[in-house]
Amino acid sequence: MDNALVPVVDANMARLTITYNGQQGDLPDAVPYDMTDADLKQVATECVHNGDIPGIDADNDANFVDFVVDRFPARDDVRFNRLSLRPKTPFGV
Amino acid sequence: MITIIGVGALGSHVALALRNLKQGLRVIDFDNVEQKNVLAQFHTKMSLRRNKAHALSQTFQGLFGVKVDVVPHKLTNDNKNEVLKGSELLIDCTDNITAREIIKCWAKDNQIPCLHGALSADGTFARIIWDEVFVADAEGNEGEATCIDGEHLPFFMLAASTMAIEAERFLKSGKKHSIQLTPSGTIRLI
Amino acid sequence: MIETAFVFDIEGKIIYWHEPHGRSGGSLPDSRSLWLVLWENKVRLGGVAHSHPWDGPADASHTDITTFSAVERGLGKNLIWPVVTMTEISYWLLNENVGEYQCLHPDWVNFDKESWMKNIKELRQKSQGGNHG
Repeated sequence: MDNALVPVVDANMARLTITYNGQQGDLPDAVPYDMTDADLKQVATECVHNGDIPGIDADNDANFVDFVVDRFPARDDVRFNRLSLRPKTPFGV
Repeated sequence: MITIIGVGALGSHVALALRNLKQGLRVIDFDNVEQKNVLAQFHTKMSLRRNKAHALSQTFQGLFGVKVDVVPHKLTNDNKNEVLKGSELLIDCTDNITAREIIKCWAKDNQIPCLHGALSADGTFARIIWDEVFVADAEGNEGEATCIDGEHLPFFMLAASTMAIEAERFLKSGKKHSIQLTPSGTIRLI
Repeated sequence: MIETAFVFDIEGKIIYWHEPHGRSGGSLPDSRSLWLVLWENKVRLGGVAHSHPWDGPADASHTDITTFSAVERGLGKNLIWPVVTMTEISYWLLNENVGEYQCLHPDWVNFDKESWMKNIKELRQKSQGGNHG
């Protein structure tokens, strides 16, 4: 990824990457880095329902129950905060 | 959360009697429902070959609209902390000394009250004993089925109801009564 | 005894051993690393087998089933989810007609039996280790 082409997002904001139904895409607008998991899932649900995520087909039945958010603060080589919404993977009790 | 370990002949009926507790129930059992169980345990023919804990949960949901936490795992020393965590009262309805010892030790280490129940397979007596005075006996073969033909079902249900009453008594008043029952009467031990 | 898992491909061959820090006799923790393995191998992915390290029937817990569902929604494909105790194996699959995970009859699992059972044996052996983390 060439960081020179990517606008630097506000230090309190983040890029949200969503993975769903075998596809992956970024929310076009930045979100607050400290947005709660529940709110992020709500945003993702609405956007996927509406087909607002480039790379993810619109899906009225999409739901992000049992998905989790990984949070990656900005660093030298990736100069913006990142959030990744993906399925949980625990097993057991 | 009230945790019932073992939902066979005793535990399934204890769960039935305690299903309205506001604290909520968790049921733990790794075994599957077999044909012979249907005669004496609160499991139905529709649950055959299903895990007992899952089966009981579905039955409760369907019949009573009651949600029950399910752990379809065998209790071992390696998983006891995860399986039993969050319990405010343990109700031991297992049928083997290994499980009983694990429960007793965990209850003691974590200072959680624990009520142990045991049925004799021949329907001649039952014991409902609080942890402070409980000593695990090696009763018969590990995992031996009790009441295979359903003959002693009324007595088993009496024992289960008595166990449920003692659990409720403790939750309401903090009092602990240990009991021995036979078909002809009840003896309060302590 | 400790829970362990492996990721396998559509032929039943092991792609990845999942032995994360923090696993115990009762659970395998959530893991981004596992998710990345599933995502990167999704084209040929068969499923994930995990152990319940005790003797007796193998049943999927609520945590297991909700993971099955979430992973399949993320990947956009159905997988097979073997649950392996020291004595039994059950194969879980989504029954789309009823929207529930149910046990598949073992005869329907079409892997080379000898190499598949070798994988299962290794899973059981790895599950006999102590608690980690």
